[in-house]
Amino acid sequence: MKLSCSILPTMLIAAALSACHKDKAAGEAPAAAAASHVQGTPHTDEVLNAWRSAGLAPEGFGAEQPAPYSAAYCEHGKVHGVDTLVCEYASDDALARGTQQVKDEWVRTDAHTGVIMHAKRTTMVTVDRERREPSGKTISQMAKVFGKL
Amino acid sequence: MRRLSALATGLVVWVVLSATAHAKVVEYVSQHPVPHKFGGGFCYIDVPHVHNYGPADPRMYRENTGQYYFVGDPAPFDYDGPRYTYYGGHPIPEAESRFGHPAYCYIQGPHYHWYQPPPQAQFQLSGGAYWYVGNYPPAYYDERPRYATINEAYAPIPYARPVVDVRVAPVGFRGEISVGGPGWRAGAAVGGPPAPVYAPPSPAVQIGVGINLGGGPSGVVERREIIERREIDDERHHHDHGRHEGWRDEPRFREHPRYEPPRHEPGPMQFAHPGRGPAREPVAPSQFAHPGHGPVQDAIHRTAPQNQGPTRGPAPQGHDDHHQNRHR
Repeated sequence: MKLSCSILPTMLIAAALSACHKDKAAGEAPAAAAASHVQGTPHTDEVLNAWRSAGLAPEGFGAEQPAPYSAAYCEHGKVHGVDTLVCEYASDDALARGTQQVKDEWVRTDAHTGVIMHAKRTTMVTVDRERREPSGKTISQMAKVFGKL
Repeated sequence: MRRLSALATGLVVWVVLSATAHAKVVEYVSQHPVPHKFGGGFCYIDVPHVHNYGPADPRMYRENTGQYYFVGDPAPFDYDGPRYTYYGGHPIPEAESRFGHPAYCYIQGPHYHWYQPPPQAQFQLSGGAYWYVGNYPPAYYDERPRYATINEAYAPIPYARPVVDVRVAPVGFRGEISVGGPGWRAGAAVGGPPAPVYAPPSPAVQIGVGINLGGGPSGVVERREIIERREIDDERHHHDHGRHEGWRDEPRFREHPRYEPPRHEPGPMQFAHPGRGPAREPVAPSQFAHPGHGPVQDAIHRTAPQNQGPTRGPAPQGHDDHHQNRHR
């Protein structure tokens, strides 16, 4: 009986930990899903490859987790020094919401130049906060390529 | 008391933070000049985008629901992209596609744009420039007093304008032909003798055509002015002051193949037709010599209808920085 009394709390703690772990795993499940590409819209790697083919040089792109701006999957990096985020959205509603969130952030922050455009449910967001490229030639080229996707 | 003080301090901090947290966001739907105080030059982004600055000179833009489209000549702003030469006013198909309603360029004389006219548009390539030879709807005339101010915006800016041979101007062109145009006052592109200024003819609805051979080093060798007048205005007082006599005595005009003796045709509004209608008579340029207004600009003012019906809001006002790249 003593044994059972000493085991019981241990079991309870183990059960609690297990439950906690399950909860955490359940919480991570959406994040894991968000980190996967969305079908039916250009994938981020397609966008980056298209830019590379056009002579642009995407640098340091990696997945953003969790994906910002209501997106399902995003990759962030730079193109010729311009801050760039490419995102895939699971639905048109999420796309509209995400677009608005990006624009709202431009209002909150002092972005010298900002562009958001989409091809199907994939967005390209470029922000030049540091006036690296006032002429916008890189962004213009990126937009031209992206618009053809 | 201490709590009240802390609360007040917090409130002040919140107000300051919320005031500074909202950056200026201005949306552009075309390429455009960058204001000098933001570095100058030209922004080549031709998709909708935002900046934290507004247009340096609103007279060079069309604004629709907070979106700006640059309707001017990009040449004076270090623009190094493709350029196409136009002469006189014309529709702007690209702006129309952006805004969903027609928009017009009111720049007088030769000028550049970054776009080529679409094949279906009624432009004629002649003398190295595109000339609009189609009809204008009433909106073009209604908006002219408001948007022709773009010529004032360009007048003090020195830059090399395109060279256009106006001797081969299309017959269907409806507008003014002169040696003037954007930036002409600076003398960067147009030298030689000062351009004549045409005083309006008799106070009636009519079209005037004047021809002035001679030209200058810009390659603009002819002046033919086709000015449409819709209503009688106070410019009648400028008529019959004897100025036109000098024009009629000018033998060069008579020798020109398109010259016809001037005749007055009062009556309902007529559309321009070269070689028809009363002639314009030149007056001394000095009569209009005041800062920022040269012959071309005066031609606009003096020939623009005085009462053309409603416009779409107040005329754009020049910004402090509207001569942004002037001294670049």
